[in-house]
Parts: sequence; C-alpha cells; structure tokens
Amino acid sequence: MTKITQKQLAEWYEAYGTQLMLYARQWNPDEQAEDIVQDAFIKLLKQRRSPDNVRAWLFRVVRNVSISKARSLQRREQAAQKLPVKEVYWFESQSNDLIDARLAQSILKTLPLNLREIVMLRIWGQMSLKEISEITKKSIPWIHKEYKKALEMIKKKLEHSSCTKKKI
Amino acid sequence: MYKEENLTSAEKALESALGQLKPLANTMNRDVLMFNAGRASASRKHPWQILSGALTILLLCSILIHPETNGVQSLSSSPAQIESVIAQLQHQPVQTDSSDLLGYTILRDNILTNGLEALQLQSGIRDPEPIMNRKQLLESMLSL
Repeated sequence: MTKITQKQLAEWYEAYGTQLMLYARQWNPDEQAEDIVQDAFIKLLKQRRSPDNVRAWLFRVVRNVSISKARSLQRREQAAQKLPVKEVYWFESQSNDLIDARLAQSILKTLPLNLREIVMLRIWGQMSLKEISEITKKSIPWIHKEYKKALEMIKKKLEHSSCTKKKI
Repeated sequence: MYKEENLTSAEKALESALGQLKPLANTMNRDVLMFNAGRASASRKHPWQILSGALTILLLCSILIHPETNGVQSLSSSPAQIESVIAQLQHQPVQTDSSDLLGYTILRDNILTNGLEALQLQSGIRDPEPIMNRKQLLESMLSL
C-alpha cells in the first residue's frame, strides 16, 4: 500500500480504461461515461494509499457514480420528455468475431440490468465471482446463479437470431 | 470456496465467444486525463495548509469579535430611548444639597482670589518642603 504516482495511473488507465468505459456505458450516455471514468481515475490519484485491488476499486467507483448519475439523468429526461439518444457502439466490429458485435450489443441491452452487469464484469471486466460479489454486494452463489441465467438468456436470443456467423 | 468453473461446455463456449468481442477503443484522451491528474495533485490540500487556514480564521475572529465588557452599556441607543431618558430627566426635580453648593461656592471664590494654593489648602494637601538651592544645601551639610 503506497502512494499512487502519475506513472501508475497511466498504466492502470491503459489496462482498465476501455473495460471501465464499457461498464459505465450500460447506465450512461457516452460523454457522461467518459467523465465518470476520468473522475474515477482522478479520485484514485487522490487516495492517500493505493487500494489493495485497484481494478475492483475502480469498477466499484464507476458503478456507484454511474448509478447515481443515471438516476438523475432519468429524472431530467422524464421532466423534459424523452429526447432521441445517439446510438453508441459498445464493441468493435471485427471480421473474425463469432458473434456479430451489433447483435451482441442489442441482446445485452435486452437483459435485465443486474444480469447484464454481472456479464459485463465477468467477461469483459475479467473479474472473479468473489470480486463481482464485492462490487455488487451480493453473495457469490447468487452471482453464479444469475450469471448462468444470463448466459442462458443470451444463448436463447442468439439461437433465435439468424445473424450468428458461426454456430456456437 | 465457490467453484467458478461450474459451467457447462456450452456456457463456456458462449462465454469465450462473447469474450472475443473487443470493447470499443477508449475515446478518452489519455493526455487530458494526465493533465487533469496533474492539476488535481497540484491543488491537493495538505493537512498543514488546512490547519494554518483554520488558525488564521480563528485569529481574525478573535481580533474582530470582542465580547461586551460587563457593566459597560452599549453606546448605541435608539433615538426613542434617548428621548425617553431626556423626558424622564426633565420631569425629575433637581435634588441639590445646600451644604455642598455652599462649599463649592466658597472654594470657587477662594481659587479666584488666591489661585491654586487655595485648592491645596482646601483639600488638606500640605505644602511640600521648599526646595533648597545649592548654597543652602551646602550650608545645611556644613552645619551638621
């Protein structure tokens, strides 16, 4: 546990910045997600000591701020009628993708938020179930059960779609 | 410890297929982040700065704010209060002690005729011993 330097911050940014952006995009528009992730890194720098698990710490901060900001944004949108939201892509489209990136995004968007969050943390955040349980404050068995449920839902939706490039 | 590998092969295949999707590259500018980080660390307040700031404020407060001394009335009175006091004084009969008044008149006359010595005599203060000049002082010492 040592004081954080700007060099370390840059390294962590390179390592986790993209994952955190994807995670924050679940709740917030792109620009807001950027601000949230940046603020999380600045908040990390201001810590007297480096957290034990920096990655989990960053995800937790992004989660808390995202949820809080999404709530206030929702209230504002309700007050001023819904405005058309610019579509932001979550994944890069690559020729060798087994699943179409846009299709995956649309399926993920249909998942309940708590399930989607677990999938995001597990697959793209590369978190263990224990880390996910610490971030979401749920039990490990519950996380595991919900994760399996989410995978099942994704599988069914993919099967119903004809856009799958290759049979899984 | 909970078994994390407790997934079916189909689930694992799906997991890995999803995992191949690459999140969209970060649109955030790294330089902007580092600039903000530098600014944040420069503006970071140290405990001694906070402490000295608080002490300065306390010092200023102690200089500017004085508690009212007991028994001393505030000079700031409203015009209504002043008027009521004046009216009260005007209606009060003037109480004078005739002996005091007589004594004062005598003293005044004495001062006008005899000067300040009259005041000293009146108040019972004795005349100080006359100051001797150098010759007198020498004579008095020789006589001893």
